Amino acid sequence: MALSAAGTPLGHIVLVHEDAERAEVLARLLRTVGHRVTLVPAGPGQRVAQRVIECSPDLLIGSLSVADPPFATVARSVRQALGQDPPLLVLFREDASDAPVETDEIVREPGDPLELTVRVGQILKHQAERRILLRKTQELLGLYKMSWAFSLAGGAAALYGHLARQSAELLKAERGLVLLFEQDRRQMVAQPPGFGFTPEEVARARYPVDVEARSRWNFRKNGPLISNKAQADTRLLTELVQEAGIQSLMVAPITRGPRILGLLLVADRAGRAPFNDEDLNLLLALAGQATVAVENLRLHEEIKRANTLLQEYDRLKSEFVGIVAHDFRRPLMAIRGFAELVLEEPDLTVETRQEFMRTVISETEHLALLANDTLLITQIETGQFSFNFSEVDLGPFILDAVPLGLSDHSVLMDIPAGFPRIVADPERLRQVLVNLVTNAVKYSPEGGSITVRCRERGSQSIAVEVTDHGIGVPPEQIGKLFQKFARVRTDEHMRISGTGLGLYICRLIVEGHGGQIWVESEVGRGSTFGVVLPIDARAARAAGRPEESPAPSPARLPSA
Amino acid sequence: MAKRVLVVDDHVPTRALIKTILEAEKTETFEVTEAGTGTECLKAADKGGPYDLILLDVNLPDMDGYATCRALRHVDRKVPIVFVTAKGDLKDYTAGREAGGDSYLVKPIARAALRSIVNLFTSIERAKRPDHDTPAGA
Repeated sequence: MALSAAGTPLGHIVLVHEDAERAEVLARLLRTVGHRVTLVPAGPGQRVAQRVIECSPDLLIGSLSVADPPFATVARSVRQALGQDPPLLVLFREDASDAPVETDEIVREPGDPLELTVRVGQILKHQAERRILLRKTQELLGLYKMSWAFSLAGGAAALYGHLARQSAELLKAERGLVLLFEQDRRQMVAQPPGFGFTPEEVARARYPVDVEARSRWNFRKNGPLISNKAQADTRLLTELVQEAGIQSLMVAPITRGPRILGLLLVADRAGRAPFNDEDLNLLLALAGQATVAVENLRLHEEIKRANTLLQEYDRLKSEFVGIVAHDFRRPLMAIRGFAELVLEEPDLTVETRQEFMRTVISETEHLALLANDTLLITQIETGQFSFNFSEVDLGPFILDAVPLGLSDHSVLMDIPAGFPRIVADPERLRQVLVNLVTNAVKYSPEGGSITVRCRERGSQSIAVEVTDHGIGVPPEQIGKLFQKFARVRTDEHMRISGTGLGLYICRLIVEGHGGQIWVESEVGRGSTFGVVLPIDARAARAAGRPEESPAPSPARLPSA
Repeated sequence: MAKRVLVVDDHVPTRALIKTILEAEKTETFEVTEAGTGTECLKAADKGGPYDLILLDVNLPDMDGYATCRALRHVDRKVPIVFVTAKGDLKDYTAGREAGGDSYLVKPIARAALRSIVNLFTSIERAKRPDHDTPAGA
């Protein structure tokens, strides 16, 4: 709405009057102030209401003396058609029949001409304020609708599409786009599907961050961007602007606290109108909503991931219980059977009896080992196990831990002088070493040689490698080695007893120290099992991340 | 005449136990052959058959007992096959029946149960036993 010289708003006024001469006088009066006035003659067959509606005025002035149809009827039809717009001003004479009319203002006729213009000015001012309020309400309603829809949105594409379209529509723009920051690539990446862009344009839209470029826009420093001559503007997304032929655009950062999560872009106002500061404020409000939505989506997907993981964990747990139950029955069968034989056969020789009881004892020991292993695994996996860290002098410790003289294998120790002391759980570390050396003995021929080699790896970690020249592990089975119940199943391996839990426990213990376990093996040539441990496991665990090591994966295939 | 029994299990003490139990029988003489894998079992059935009974574990290192059983039925449709296994689910039992097994025992088995099952199946003359179908997928 335009303003008069006095600063009051000017508007389009429709005047309905039964007296054409008087109507002309009033119209002239209002026109001198600056209003646009349309006269609608009243009378039968004039379709008064219809003509008023067609004018869609800012203010309707009518004389209460209008009859056939009475002004009250006209006013009601107009308001029905145009909502609360426009306001009404009723002129009445004292002798007029007292037809009730819902009106905003009443002015006596004929009255002071000045009073009429003042009243008209007040009504129009009020009307202008009401319209601003209405627009704000609609914007808020849009924001509300948007946030409501976000919470119901299904998946990323639906969310980003909705966000782009709603932002564009609320700002009467032809295009909208959401870009999100990708940490590893250090750039903002457009999220499909966008609104008003082709899939190719969206797929190519990138905005590198932290790049040395003077012409680029820094959202942290400069805040949101508004550009109504986009083709001549090289500050932002120039490739997209050129490719899509964007004329005007606004971009607001989607922020959470000090972090910029992404960008919300709208472009090309309908009818080529420019964007202004008020539009930018609305875009900022929308970006605020986008923060909530993007965060919600991220959390939602995190929960979904965690849930899948939990289900998988639960499945593994049940499977574990199943396998354990199965593995317990096997030794139980032998124990029960031989005990029954001893009990029921009175004629057995002493030697046979002893042989049976030795089997009972060794199967019982196996059962006890299985129970210990199972318990330890469950405790470590559920975080109930606490390591007892203390300083360990690795050289003497290994000599002490490695079971020598059990077989005719030769075990060679290769530990440099002055090898550093490390912080570890001695009892568990012993378990790992015993396990690895026992495996090496089990899987290599009688009289074979086994090497235990200790080396420093940088200043923060050490490596212990156990090498045998045994039967080796086929490549397709290497990946399974450190899993639960991962017995290598080949004719040669199956002769060898074990719970199938040893290497898995080694892995749990080593990882519990913040280290890594790995293997290199070749069938017929032998295997090397390696353990990388931080010098100070307590500190490494406190730092909360596993020690960086040159052996990246837990299971490596032999290099060609 | 001695009854010939093939015991298939990768757990050495279990094989030794079954062998001892059978050889301790007073009223019947058993000649026990041992096999530690499905492959060994099939080789024994093919080269050393026919047997009067096969006691078959399910959890074998090279192939599972069900597959072994299906393959066995191509060699011998009359021999009784009894699964002796730590797998005790109904679905394991069903799989055993479908693979062509005659009975199913879950470890740990009482000596008495094993004896009665073995005596039951070895007491029927081979000629009087019904032929098993040859199961598909072997």
